[in-house]
Amino acid sequence: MQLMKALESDARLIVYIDIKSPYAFVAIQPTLELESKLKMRFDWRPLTLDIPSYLGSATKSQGKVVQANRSSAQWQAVRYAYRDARRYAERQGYILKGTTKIWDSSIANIGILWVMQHHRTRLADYFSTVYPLFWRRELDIEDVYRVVDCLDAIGVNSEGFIEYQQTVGRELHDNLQAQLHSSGIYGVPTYVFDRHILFGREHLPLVQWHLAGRQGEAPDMAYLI
Amino acid sequence: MLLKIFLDFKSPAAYLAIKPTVALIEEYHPEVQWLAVRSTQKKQPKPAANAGKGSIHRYVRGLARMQTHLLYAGIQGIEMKFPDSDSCTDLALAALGYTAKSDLGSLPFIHAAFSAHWSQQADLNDLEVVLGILSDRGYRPKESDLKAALEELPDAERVAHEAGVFEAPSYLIADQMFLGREHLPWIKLILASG
Repeated sequence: MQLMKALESDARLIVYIDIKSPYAFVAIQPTLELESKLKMRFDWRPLTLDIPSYLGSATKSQGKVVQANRSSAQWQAVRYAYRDARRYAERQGYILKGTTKIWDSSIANIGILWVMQHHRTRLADYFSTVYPLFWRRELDIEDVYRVVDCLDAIGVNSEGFIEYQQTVGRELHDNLQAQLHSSGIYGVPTYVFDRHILFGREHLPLVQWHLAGRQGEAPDMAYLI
Repeated sequence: MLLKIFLDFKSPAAYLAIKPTVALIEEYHPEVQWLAVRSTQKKQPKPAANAGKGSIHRYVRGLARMQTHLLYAGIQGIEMKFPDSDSCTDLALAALGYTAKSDLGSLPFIHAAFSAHWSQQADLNDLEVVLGILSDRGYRPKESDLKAALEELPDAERVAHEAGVFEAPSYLIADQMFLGREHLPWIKLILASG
C-alpha cells in the first residue's frame, strides 16, 4: 500500500472534499464539469474536517441548539455559510437541509478512496448518490452499512469495503489527514495544482485557466453559475 | 435597482472587490450606496510548538488567505502590502458616510483610501491622514464634519448588522445578502433582470 503525499499526485489537479461540508457539496458539480470539459482525471481525496477543534461544537435537538460552545460571531458566520450554500445548491437542483450535528464523515470519505482505487469511472455516481442523500438527511454516513448500500446502488463492488475502511483505507485516510495542516491545507474544497493551494470553488475559473494552458489574462475569482 | 455595498478599508477582500465591483456598476448603472461595516482582520500568531489543533488551523487559514489575496492582487495588477499589526479604520469609515453626502460621491475617496492603506500603510484612523486623502480628492471637509460622522458610525454599524451584514465586502440587492466578490456573477444576473 502506497501512502499519499498531500501535495503530490500524478494528476494535474488534486481536489480535497468532505461529504459533510455544504461548501464541498456545491463544489462537486462544477468541479466534475471542469474535469469533463478538460478531459482530465483529477485526483479526488478526502479531507475529514475536525470541526469542533476550530469552530466550536454544537448539537441540535428538534431543530434547536441544545449545547454549543461557539461565539455569536461564529454562529453568524455559520448561519450565513449554510444559507449561502443552500441557495447555490438549489440553483443546482439540490436540497440542502441544515445539519443536525457535527458528523464523523470518515467512513463516507474513505468511500472516496475506495471508489478512486477500484472503480474510478463511478466516482461521479458516488458523489451524486452520497452527497444529495446526506444533505436531504436521508443517509447516516456514520453507518458503514448505509455507505455500502450506496456503493452497491451505483454498481461498485463493495465486497471488502467494511474491512477496508477499518484497516488499509483508514490508514490511508488518517495518514493523509495528518499531513494536511503542515501542507497548508485547512478546508474544503481545496484545489492543489503546480504549487498552488486554493481553498474554495471560487477559484475554479483560475484552476481552469491554468489547466487549460494559461491563455489570455488570468481570471478573478467567481462562483460559476 | 438599489445595490448596497458594505466596505471596510482594512479588509483585503474588500480592497480586491473594488475593481470588479466598479466594472459591474459601470456596466449596469444601478443606484449604489457605499456603506461602512467594521470587519474583523486579526493577524494570527504563529502557534507555539505544543499548540492545539484550533490554533494551528487558524494560523494555517490566516496564512493561506493572505497568500490567496496576494495572488489575486497580482492578477488584478494592484499593489498590496499587508500591515505588520492590526489596523483601525474607523475614521475613514466615518468619512465614507461624509462622502456619501458630497456631490463628488464616495468613489474617489474609496479608491484613495484603499490605496493609501494597502500601498502606503497609511493610518486611516488618523485625522490628518484622512483629511489629507479627502482634500487630495477634492472634498472640502471640516474637522467638525469628520467628528460628526464618527459619532454617526455606531448607527451605521447597527444598520449593517440589522441587515445581516457582518463582514466586508457585503452586497445587499433584491433582499439577498452576498458576502464576497465571488458572488458578482449572481449579482450581475439580478442586475440584468431588473
